[in-house]
Parts: sequence; structure tokens; C-alpha cells
Amino acid sequence: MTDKSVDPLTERREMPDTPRDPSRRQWLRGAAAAAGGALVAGAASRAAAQDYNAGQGSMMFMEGHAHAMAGRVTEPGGAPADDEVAYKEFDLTFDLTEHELIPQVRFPVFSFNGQVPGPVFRVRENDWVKVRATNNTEEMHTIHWHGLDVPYTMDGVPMVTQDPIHPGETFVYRFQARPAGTRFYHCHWSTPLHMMSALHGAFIVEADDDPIRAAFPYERDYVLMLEAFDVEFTRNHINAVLAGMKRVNSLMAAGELSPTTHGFFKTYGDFTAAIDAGWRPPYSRGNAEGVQPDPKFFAINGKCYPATEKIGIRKGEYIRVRLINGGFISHHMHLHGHQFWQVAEDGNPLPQSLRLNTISIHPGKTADIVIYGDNPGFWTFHDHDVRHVMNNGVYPGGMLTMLAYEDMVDPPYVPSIAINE
Amino acid sequence: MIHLKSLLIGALGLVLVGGSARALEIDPQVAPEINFAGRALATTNYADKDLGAAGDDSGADVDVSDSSLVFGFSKYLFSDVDYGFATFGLSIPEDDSDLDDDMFLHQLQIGIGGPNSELMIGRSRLPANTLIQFPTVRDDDLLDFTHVANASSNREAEEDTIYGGQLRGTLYWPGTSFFSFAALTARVETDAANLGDTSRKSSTNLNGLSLGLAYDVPEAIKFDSGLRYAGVAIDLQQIDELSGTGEDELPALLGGLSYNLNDNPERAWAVDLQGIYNFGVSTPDLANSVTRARAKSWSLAAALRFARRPYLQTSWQAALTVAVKDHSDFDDAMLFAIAPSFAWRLGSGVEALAQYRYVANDDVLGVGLGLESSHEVLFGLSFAFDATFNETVGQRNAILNLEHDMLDNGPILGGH
Repeated sequence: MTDKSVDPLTERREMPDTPRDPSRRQWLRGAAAAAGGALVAGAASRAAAQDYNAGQGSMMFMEGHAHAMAGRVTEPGGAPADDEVAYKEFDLTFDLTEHELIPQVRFPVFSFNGQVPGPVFRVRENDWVKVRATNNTEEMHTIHWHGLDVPYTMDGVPMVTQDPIHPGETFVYRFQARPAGTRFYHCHWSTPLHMMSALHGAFIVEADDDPIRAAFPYERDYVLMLEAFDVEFTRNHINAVLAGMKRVNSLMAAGELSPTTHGFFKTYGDFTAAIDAGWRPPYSRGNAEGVQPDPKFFAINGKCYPATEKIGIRKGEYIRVRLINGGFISHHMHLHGHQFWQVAEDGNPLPQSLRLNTISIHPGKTADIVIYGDNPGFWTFHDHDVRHVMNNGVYPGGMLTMLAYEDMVDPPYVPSIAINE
Repeated sequence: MIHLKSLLIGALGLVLVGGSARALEIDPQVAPEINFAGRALATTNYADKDLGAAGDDSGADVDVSDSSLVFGFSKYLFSDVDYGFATFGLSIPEDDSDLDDDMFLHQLQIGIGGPNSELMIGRSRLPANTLIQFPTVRDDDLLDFTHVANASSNREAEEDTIYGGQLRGTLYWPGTSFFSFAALTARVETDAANLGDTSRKSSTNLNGLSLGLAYDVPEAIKFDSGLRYAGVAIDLQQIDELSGTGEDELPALLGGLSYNLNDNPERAWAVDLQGIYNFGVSTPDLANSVTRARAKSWSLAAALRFARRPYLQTSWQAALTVAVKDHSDFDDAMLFAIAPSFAWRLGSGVEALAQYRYVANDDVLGVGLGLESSHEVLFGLSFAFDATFNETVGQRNAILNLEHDMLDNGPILGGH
């Protein structure tokens, strides 16, 4: 039961290590006032939204928004200054690269730091984190810190919490890493394309008093990013996006970008007024592309079987495996020969672990499992939706790897590679 | 020329003797990428012609010529950078064409390609008889000015000028935006010794050679100001002498460019220019299409285009094309044309069209043609589409290929 006497905003403010940042408290009060209005009437809420000060919103609505964004460093409000807390600093870049899923299958992707998936963050709970995200592409991007309770100005939702990061721009994200657990990050701009291909990565927040490590004394842990790729969709849309952005960036540089050109509107009323004036939204009849991604390649950490990396274990060892669904379809990971424990979901420890041999990871979800090495051998670990264990329709492939005991002596049978059964 | 033809025939003969008449095994489960494109074009035309001594003539008609369907098929070979393709296309000739058919097979070609080259054999648009696609409603609206005419066919058929058999090799070098090509061509022939006989004598006889070099960036990618296309080409036709006693060679030089005048993608100005110099051979008069095609001539065509693209989507385009041509060895044999056109986008691929065309011929030419001048106004509708199924092959003119060195090549199919 929820204790309704507790103001969740107030409670949130009192979480450990929350900075005593007056500016942050100020917008919490503003948010509380807005929430109160929302309870009165939805229509009133809409009217209130239209009354926001345009100067505090997207610069794209400002008069003559000609901006030389290349080289610009944007440091939004909402987090302590550099001299107020000790930040752990990281650099991320958005790049356009060509990625090989498996020999003979390469495709263009947007990537973090030129790799798929992006680099794994490992920080301690309540560390202050500063990430300088620089856009080296001609497309726009943001970073959403999925499952992390960051200030809203750091949440990375374009046109809701920030303007997208323009080509050549650096955006500085600052936040406190909490709560502990298996989290991830992904681009939130044009999410169907960008998150899938392939702007996603793991963000691991370690707790000093991790109950999972206390219950299962593991020393090694593995991060498995589960991915689904429609390489044709990606290729086509990156081509289309790059061509379109040439025009958008040109108009923006000339200060002539209009809301209808890019589909950005300050208010819902502006949106409907544009339609009344003749603008046709791209989802409408006769305008809609109507193409949905249909992935035919499935990967773990950017690689399809047999290019996937094995998971090593020794007899008598506990290992922790952090499963993250970085894509947009569900996966059902089955481990042969073992009953593992599911110990966390969405990064948060479960009150009681579950004994499983197959675990479903839906889009946006993470799950932590612990495997105990009690059955030496070579054990397949794969998505049991066998359509995802194929490379372009050829079995076996895709989301398949192996739990391999490293301390076996003279095993009676050793694995080889099958490409087409 | 003779040597080239002999070598080619010898090589093809070896292939035919050594090969099978049937295809080798096919993997029916490996479907090709399928491109299905088409354009239905229907206009109502009103023409008012000054026929000189014969008086005036005027009339209106409904014209569906240049409507077409094209099917393209492609698949990768044994790597993901080498590809094969085939294209089949049908178009509608003009009603008064000497083709006397309701359909014309304007595309039938097979090719293979790789990262830097492509080889194609079959029938298609001739590679070097024009370099620029001018903004007129139909291909033949300014054909006399924009194309090197077929000097072997005396039929009244634009298809004989625009299309032909060919064995064409294209080299994409020194960069992805450059290409050079060489082609042996097979234009349609009628009997040169008997111009009154307009029946087709051959459409397969290799009777030409084309060479070209171009810088080309697709308009969909290059919209800012500056050069988008520049090309030069040589077109050489091997023709039977009108006396029926021998053969002659007819070279022509072509140069063209497309230039974007501004860098506003919502209000885009562009200019297209093309010049053709036909070296000509001795010809007695300008009375028919073969003799006009063989006469020494030069022509210039220029178009100014403005496209209004609110929301980065073309709403309408207005264009003005002017052209002039002179048959240099004849006095009073110049012709001039002006053709403003307008296209209004009603929806994706659906357009309302309008065009006015005025053509004036100098006296000598006018007498030969029996046409001093003509005014033509047309209004119509166009429904065009370009759909791809089982998309598995890249596109050579994609931005990833052209600007990011991500080899993702394939044939340039589609179109109409």
C-alpha cells in the first residue's frame, strides 16, 4: 500500500546524498504547482502548458534561431556545478560507423564512441557523473539514462527535457548515479532507428552493500546487451535521415527552419493550426511511409553467433550475468544444463530470487541472473524464440552464445561451429 | 569501329558455342530485390501549326505517350559488393509514330557490377546522345535540340533516337561521384538507300560507339549552391551512305552541366545547360529525319527551374526551357523553341501538369519540314510510383556510399 501522507516529491528530495541545490528545489516547487493544476482538469493543464515561457524551452522556437552549433558546449541547468561536487568525468561521441555483425554482414550504424554496443559505464552508487556527449554526425541525438533517477533536464528526451544535440555540439550531462543496479543508456532521438542501430550501452551502478553479492559471492560479472537489427531498415533510414538533415541543418544555419519543416511545435494548438494551414503530418494517409523494422539479425553485444563471445565459468564459481534488452522485441534466454537465479529486474534486487532456466527480457527491461558452476561442460545459452537464433533466416545464428567451463580437463567432446543446419 | 565489332562478335560467338542455352541452377528461395516503377501520363494537347504554303492546322487530342512500366530485379553475387541485375520496361509510343505499336520495349537489359565498375548489355537509353534531362513534360518535347538524332533511321519515332541496344561498361573513378563509360551501341536502322521505306531493317546491328565522363551528385543529396552535374561525351554513329555504296562515320560532341543557384532547400533555383555539336556528313537537304540527323549542326538548350518545397517537400515546380539549333551547312536552317512548364504536386507521385511549347523553324528548314512554327498547350495528370520489394541490395547513389565511403552499392534501377 502506498502511504498517501508522504509527498513523493518531498521524499525524493530527502534521498541520501541529494545535493542541497537551490535551483533544483526551485523547479521541484514549480513542478508541484503544475501537478496540482493537473489534478483539477486536463483542459486547464493544456492551457497551462501553452503558457510556459518560450525563453525557457527549445531554442528552435526563438526568433531568428540561427546558430552555429558546431563546437558549441551546452551545459543545462539542474545539476550541481563542477565545484560543488566531485564528478567522475566521461566522454562519449556519437559517430556514424560501419559495423560487422558477422563476417560478410556489415551495415551502417550510429554508435557511441564508434563501437556497438557503446562502452560500459561502471560507477559506484551516488557517484556524481559528468558525461560530455559530442555529436560527430550530421544527425541529431540525445542520451536517455534508462532506469537512472536523474534530474529531468538530464533525461535526454528531445523537445521534452532538452533540445536535441546538434551536429558538432557537445552536451554535458550531469547526474548522480542512482539507484544501484543494471541500467543502460540509449539515444532518445528518433528512437526506433537510433536505439536499434545502435546507440545503446550498459550503465552499471555498483552498491557498496550489494545484497546480491552478499547472497551469491561472485567475482566476475558479464553484461549481455541483447539486440535485434534490421540492416535494410537501418541503411535506408540513415540514408534518408542524412539527406534530410542536410536540408534541415542548412535552414537552421540560415535561421529559416520552421516548425513545419521539422515537425516541431511549441504547443498542441500550434500543431493543429499548422494542419489547418495546409501542413500534412507525415503519418497521414498518402504521406506515411508505413515501413516497420523487421529484424533478421539478432546479436549479443553487437555480434551474431558464431561471432558472439563465450561466457566463462569455473566449477564452484558464481557468476553474475546482466541481461539488457537494447532492442525492441522480446527475448527469452534459455540456459542449458543449469538452474540459475534471477536476482534483479529493472536493475533492482528482487525480494526473493527466482530459480529459472529461461528468462524473458522484454524491450526496455533488464534482468540479472546468477549462475553457479555445478555442471562442467559446454552449454548453449540462447533466445528460445528460435526465429532469433538465425542469421538472415539461416539457423543457427543470432542470439546464441555458450557458457563454457574454463577448467575442464580433456573433455570428451568439444564444440565446433555450425553455420547452416 | 569494324575491328571493335568483329572482336565483340567473336567473343559472343565463343560464349554461345561453349555455353548452355538454359540457365544454370537457380535457388528459387533466394528471391531478388524487385523494383517496380511506372508512370501514367495523360494530357490534353492543343496545337496550332503554321504549315507555310499548306496553310494552318490546329486540333486537340488526348495523349498518353511516354507512359511506362519498368520492372527491375537485382541480387548480390557471391559477395555483398558485387551484384547482378535485369530490367524490363514497356512504354507507350506517340500515336502518330511510325512504330505502329501500342507498346514499345524500351528497357531490356542485364548487368553485373562491383565497387568500381558495371557492365550492362541490352536495350536502354543511349548513353551519350543526351546528358541532361530537361524539365519538359515528355522526352520528345524538345528532342531536336536535346538529343543526337539517329542518323540511320528515317522513321518518325522518338524511340529510335532515345533508345538502342548497347554493350556498356561504366567505371566509377576517380571517386564515387565520378564515372566514365564506353559503349558499343546498336541504333535502329532503316534502308538508307531508299528513304521512302521506313520499315525497320535492324535494331541489333552494332553501329556506334559512345564515350563519356561525368561528375554527378544526385539532386536529392546535393541541394546547396554549386555544381551538381558536369559531363562531356562523344557519340559516334556508323552510317550507311545514302547512295548505298559505303559507310561513313558521324561524330558528335556533347557537354552539359546542372548548377544549383542557391542553397535554400525550400526555394530551390537551378539551371541546366547542354550543348551538342554534330560534325555532320554531306547531305543533300533537310527534308527528312535522316538527312537532318546527318547535317552538320549545333544546338544549345538551357533550363531555369524553381522548385517550391515547403516542409522540404516539393509543392510545385516552374521551369523555362529555351533551345536553339542551327544546321550550319544550310542557310536559313535555324530552329528555336521555348517551353515553359509547370508541375503541381497533388500528392506523392501525383501531379497536375501544364506546358506551353513554341517552335519556330527558319525558312529553308520550314519548307523542308512543312512546318514554319507551332504553338502547343497541354494540360494533364501524371501518376508515378517507384516501389521496392524484398529490399536487399544497396544503392550506388546513396549518401552512405557517396559521402561516407560505406560501400553499399547496387544498380541504379527504378525511374520511368
